[in-house]
Amino acid sequence: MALLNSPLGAPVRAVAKIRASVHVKLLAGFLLITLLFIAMTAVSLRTFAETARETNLLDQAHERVGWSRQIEHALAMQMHFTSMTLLSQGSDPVSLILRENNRFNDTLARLETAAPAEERALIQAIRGAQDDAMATVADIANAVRDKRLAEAMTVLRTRQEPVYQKIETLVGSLVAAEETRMAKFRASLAATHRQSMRLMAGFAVASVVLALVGGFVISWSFILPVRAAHGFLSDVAAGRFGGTLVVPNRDEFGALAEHMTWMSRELRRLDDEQRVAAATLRGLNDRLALASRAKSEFLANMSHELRTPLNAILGFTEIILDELYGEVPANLREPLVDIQTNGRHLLRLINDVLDLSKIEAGRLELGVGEYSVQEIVEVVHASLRSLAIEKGLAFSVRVAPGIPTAWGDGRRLTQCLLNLAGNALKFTRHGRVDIDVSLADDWLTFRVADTGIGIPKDEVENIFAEFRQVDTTITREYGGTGLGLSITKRLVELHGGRIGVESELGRGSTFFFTVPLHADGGPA
Amino acid sequence: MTSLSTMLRALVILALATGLTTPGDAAGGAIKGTVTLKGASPELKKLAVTIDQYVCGKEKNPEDLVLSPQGGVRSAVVWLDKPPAGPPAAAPPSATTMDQKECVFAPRVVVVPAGGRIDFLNSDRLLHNLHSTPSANPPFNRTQPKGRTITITFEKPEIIRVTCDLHSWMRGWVVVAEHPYYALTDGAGDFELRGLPPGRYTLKAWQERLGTISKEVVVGDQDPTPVTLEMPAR
Repeated sequence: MALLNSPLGAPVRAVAKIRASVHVKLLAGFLLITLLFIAMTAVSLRTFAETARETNLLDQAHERVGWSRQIEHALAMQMHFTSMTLLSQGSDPVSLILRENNRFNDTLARLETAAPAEERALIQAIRGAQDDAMATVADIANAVRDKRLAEAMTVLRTRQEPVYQKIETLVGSLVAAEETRMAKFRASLAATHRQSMRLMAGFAVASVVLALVGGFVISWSFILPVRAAHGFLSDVAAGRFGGTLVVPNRDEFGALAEHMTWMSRELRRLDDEQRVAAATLRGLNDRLALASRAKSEFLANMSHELRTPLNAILGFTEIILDELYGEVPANLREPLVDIQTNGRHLLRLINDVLDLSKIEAGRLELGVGEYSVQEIVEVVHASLRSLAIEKGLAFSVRVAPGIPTAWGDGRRLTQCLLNLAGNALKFTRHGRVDIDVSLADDWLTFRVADTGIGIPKDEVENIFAEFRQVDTTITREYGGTGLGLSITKRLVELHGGRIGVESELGRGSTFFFTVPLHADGGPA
Repeated sequence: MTSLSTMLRALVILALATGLTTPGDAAGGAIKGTVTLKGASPELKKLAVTIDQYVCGKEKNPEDLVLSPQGGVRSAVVWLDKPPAGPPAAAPPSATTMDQKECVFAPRVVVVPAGGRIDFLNSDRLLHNLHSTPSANPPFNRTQPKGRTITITFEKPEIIRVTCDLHSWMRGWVVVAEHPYYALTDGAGDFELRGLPPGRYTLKAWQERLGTISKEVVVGDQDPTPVTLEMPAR
């Protein structure tokens, strides 16, 4: 963020604010650099062309200087051959003079064709002088051939030498002019070279700077919103919804930032709604708990109140059946036994309800102390043996040897095992019921296996809920409050253990519960 | 031009018919003929120009044998082996010119009667050098700048070759005739000899490449006698 306060912050923001896609921005950046390179290439080519042109001009001027030298040479050779002719007094070297003269003409013609316009006048002057020179050369040649040497000498002195000097002077001016031109071209060429070097260096520096600045600005215009989004998302992840993500970008990043802001606000709204709902639910839950506790207390009190008159009924019934009030007529004994049986049943129901209520109200406390597993099993066996015999069922118990004295509420655990075994006997018509106790890793496992009707799979989960039996028809056939399993579960859990069942419909069930060998006891 | 020549011809015919002829034309025989090449035309190569190209050009047409499309030989010289007795009907001009233009003699062949004069010109802006070594006439070797005229008189009948020392391809021919009965063929190879008394003549023809041939011709006194001189290629 310190970057945005630096001088580069302004261009970064400016690039971010450009209303164009990231793609276009990147392409534009590359295009800019490419254009610079194209411009550099064009300028280089132009410079090369200019250099080539100037070099060519220089070469041409050089060539013209060469020709001018040839002209001077031809002139000197003519003089030389003329002297030779006169000295030897023969006409043999005359053809050499003529040849040199024609060479002079030929070279001059080339020079005239190649010469720049400003030198034409000079060349015309040379040509005029050469016309005179040709006439004198012809005169000398013919005079020599005619053996008129004195005349030839006169022509040489009076006419040829002055005209040759004139030509020499003119050619000298021409050479000087050409050399001036050459010097100018050389200077121009050197200047072009220097300029091209400067241009190249300038382009190189400009390319590097443009690439660096362009790359920096464009990349930061993308990095900044990403960083802002990162911080924003961290807030969202931390549960701080409803913020606004502000980025200068008007490209895809800008659109993304708007969406993220919208998302955050939407999350805020949902979060608020959820909080309200949760608060409402909590209130309801509290009220429900209160209601449940009130119900349990009511039931506990009610059960207690119900037991008092029922105990009186059962007590008097028993006294009557014991014939303390006199002999009971035979026709009354059966209804009295029914009263006693149903009264006991009712008492058991009330006790169950009382237990459950206590548990739910949190008022049931375990009376922990030492107990003997063997003893519990024997008590249960003794209590139910007659029922088993009555139903013609095999009923066996087995306690693993070497189980030490355990710690817990022996009375309640007896109740648990009695419940399970009673249920097993109740729901089994044929076969057997087996009780098995084992110890593993300081955990006691009580098992009651039967060959009864079994429990359908979809009912297994509900089997431990209050007032639940598999089928209402079962209640009618087998009786029972449906509270036994529920109480057993609560008691086992109070011991810190757990209860479970494995069952196969029609083949039988195995109920088991585990408790620690040394249970802490007390309300969980 | 055609109508003009037609008119002239009509005038001549009218003059002949009315007898209004000049005394010189009294001996009115004439030969009107063509010199042609017999046989295949030899292959002619262009001449390369090695120096002074700025005036002379890069190459030159070979002019030692120039033919018309019909095979007529140009610049052949035709003459009577023996002239007729008596003075000639008309004396040909005793002076003519031969120019040097773009490093070529123009015309290439000139004919003058013995004692005739030739003015050699130079139209080129460079030096030419006339050079000739005839056998009968005196030799000459003259350097010539532009614009200067060199006049040479030829006394003896002869066929003379003229060259330029400075330009090897340059060739010119001066034919010095013994008598005025000669003619030079034009571009079509045509020639005409006039003022001949009727009779029997030996006609001779020379061309620089093809050499000399001769042919017997009988000339009447009325219409020009047509003749074709065939020069075999060699």
